[in-house]
Amino acid sequence: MSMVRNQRTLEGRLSVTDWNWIRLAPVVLASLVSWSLSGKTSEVVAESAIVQDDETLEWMDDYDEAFALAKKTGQPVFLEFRCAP
Amino acid sequence: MAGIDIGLYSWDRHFSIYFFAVSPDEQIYLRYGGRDARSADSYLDLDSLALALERGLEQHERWKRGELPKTERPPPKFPRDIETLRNEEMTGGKMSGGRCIECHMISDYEVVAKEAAGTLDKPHDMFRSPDIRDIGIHMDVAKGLVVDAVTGAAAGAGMSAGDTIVAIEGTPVFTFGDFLHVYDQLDRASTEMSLAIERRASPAVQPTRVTLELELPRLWWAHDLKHRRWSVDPVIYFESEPLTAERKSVLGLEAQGFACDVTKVRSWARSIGTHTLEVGDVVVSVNGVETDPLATSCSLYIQLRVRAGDSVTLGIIRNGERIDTMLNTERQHFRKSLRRKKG
Repeated sequence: MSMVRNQRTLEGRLSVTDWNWIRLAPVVLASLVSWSLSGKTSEVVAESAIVQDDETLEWMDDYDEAFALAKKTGQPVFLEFRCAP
Repeated sequence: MAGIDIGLYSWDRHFSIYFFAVSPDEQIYLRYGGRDARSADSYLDLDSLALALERGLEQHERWKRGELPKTERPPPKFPRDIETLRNEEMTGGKMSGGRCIECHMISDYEVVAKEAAGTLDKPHDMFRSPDIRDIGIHMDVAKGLVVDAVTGAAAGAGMSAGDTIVAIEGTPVFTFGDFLHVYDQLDRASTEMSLAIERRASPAVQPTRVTLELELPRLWWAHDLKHRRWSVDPVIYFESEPLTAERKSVLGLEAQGFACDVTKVRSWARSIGTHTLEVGDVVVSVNGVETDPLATSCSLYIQLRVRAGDSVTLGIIRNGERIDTMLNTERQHFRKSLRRKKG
């Protein structure tokens, strides 16, 4: 997917900088993020997961480590596959 | 992708971005993604992504309460299990240097292996993720599975704008990605499909669930493959339009034939020896065949019945005269290693 085009699609909702965390995801194709349920509505969590940058959003690039963490914490996993930039 | 179980994480790998919401014990809650020939972004949207995350969290709550039925995990499969991918890309090839194994390469090697084994089912394996607009479903992309407009088969089955799709062939779906994934699994010989929808008479009332039976049109699965670049899809360097019934009659051709007008010719086709077709030619036959139950155009016939890289004889009408001419199809190898053997 053309991330540049997608940024245009999302213009008004996200700045280019906000969307950079996806563009700058690790070179490996499987990027994982666990998202939290605690104390937030799912909508807020979803929105915050989308707009936060790499410093505040915990991205992992190791499949086994991510699922080990998910088992330990009981969190679900959001798994992304994408074409390398 | 080298360490990913592609047996579990199965999807149309020509989608450039795809998401799974997964439980800690690797049960897939839902999928997010999908595209069509118009754009890689056709079904991607921030609002619908947020909706998908919300639905994923609902499923996770059910999982925690033990309410989700345990799904049987497919047999594990890894990219290294595809012999040609392993031999040509992973062992001493480009990928051995740390370059990623691209998703679309995995699917391409899979279909090439099927072709070599004689098990390639082009309508299913090559025409992946059929365009749902061809059965009259036009989604309100931002709203996930809410239908924006209906035409054709969907309208005929009673679907209405504003309906929310909740199941296909009895399988619950939570996102458009789920919907397209199940739709893609349908047998290409299917002539009907059931869709469960929820419909509200007004925002204040509970939705009513209705099951609709869609009559699938002929060749519902056929769609534009330009964005896919399959190795098994013969490259022909011309475009065509099927002849109308009236023109077939005037030219004395089979009413059920796949004859077509050549509408566009790539300028380099003649110089590289692919063909000598001209705009205005009528392609009547391919290797003497004029009709096929699966083909409405000569291009579709070639896609389905000709092995990429093979040469065929086209029977054409040019300036009122019927002549034969050669078409040397090409085989493309999108981003594959230069170590690849020819053929």
